[in-house]
Amino acid sequence: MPLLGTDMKIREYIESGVLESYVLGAASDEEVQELMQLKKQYPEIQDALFELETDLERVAQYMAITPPPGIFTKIEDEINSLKYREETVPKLKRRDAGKSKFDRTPGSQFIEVESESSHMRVHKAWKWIFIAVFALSKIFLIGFIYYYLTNRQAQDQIQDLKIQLKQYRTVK
Amino acid sequence: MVKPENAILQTKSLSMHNLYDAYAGMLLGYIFEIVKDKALAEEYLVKTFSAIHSNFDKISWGETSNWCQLQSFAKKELIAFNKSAGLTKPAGTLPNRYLDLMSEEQKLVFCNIYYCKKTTIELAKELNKPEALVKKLLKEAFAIIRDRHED
Repeated sequence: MPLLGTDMKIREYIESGVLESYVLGAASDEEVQELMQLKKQYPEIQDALFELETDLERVAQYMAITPPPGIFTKIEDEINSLKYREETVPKLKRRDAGKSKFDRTPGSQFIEVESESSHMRVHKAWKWIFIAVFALSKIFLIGFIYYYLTNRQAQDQIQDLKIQLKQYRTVK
Repeated sequence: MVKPENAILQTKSLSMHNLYDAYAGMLLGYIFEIVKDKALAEEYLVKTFSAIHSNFDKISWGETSNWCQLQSFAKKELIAFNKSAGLTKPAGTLPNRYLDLMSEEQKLVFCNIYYCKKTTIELAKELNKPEALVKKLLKEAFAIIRDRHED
């Protein structure tokens, strides 16, 4: 633990400029550690620090600009979106660490659909709905082709029969 | 023991509002002096307050003044901007009764540390001057601020 001993040394330390560096965040890590310890030991240092912090606050007050209305709402929106991202995306990232993007765990509740710039998350149930819709569309397509071909064949046969009937009537 | 000014920091959501009421103007003024653009300054103000919110529980509120804590968040948000700006010339967008009384050297040291989050060692290297001299100039700048206020 650093010791300054005499009043003279405390004054020298205060006059060294290290306190000013500290309040401006410009002190080195060692200087900060030393100052934190000395602050507890010497009230003179604590008082000097308080005065410097007050000086800084005065400068800032003098240069203050009143924010336009609506800024706090923007801040709240930003905080809420950050909260949402913290609650959702990191969980997915942690779960997906070391796996392929499309490699899903059995317990996973969501599948991701990639878009151009961000992710859209849908419930896992949609995966089976998409598969069912795809399979049904294929069945309907095959059914339609089959119906179309048999219908065309039947039409041809009807046409042939009509011709045959016509020929039969003329012969008779 | 909780300092009187930290009594407002007991609950997080209420505190954010109180901190905003007390310091948003000061932070906006500070940021504007660096970015020199009102819209950009407001953007940085929003980023600064959301960073404060994210780290609210990690901040040792009683250790340093609230203003110094909040200002350090603004400085962190502005690091990239300051890096691209290089060595700062004394700020001059707003009339400044404190800076106007400083010599060019004092102003250069104060502005580079106050606005650009440079350490005294870094600045001493950049200016090619001993660190002790940089600290002395900084101390003189603070003395001018105090004298001006007492006037």
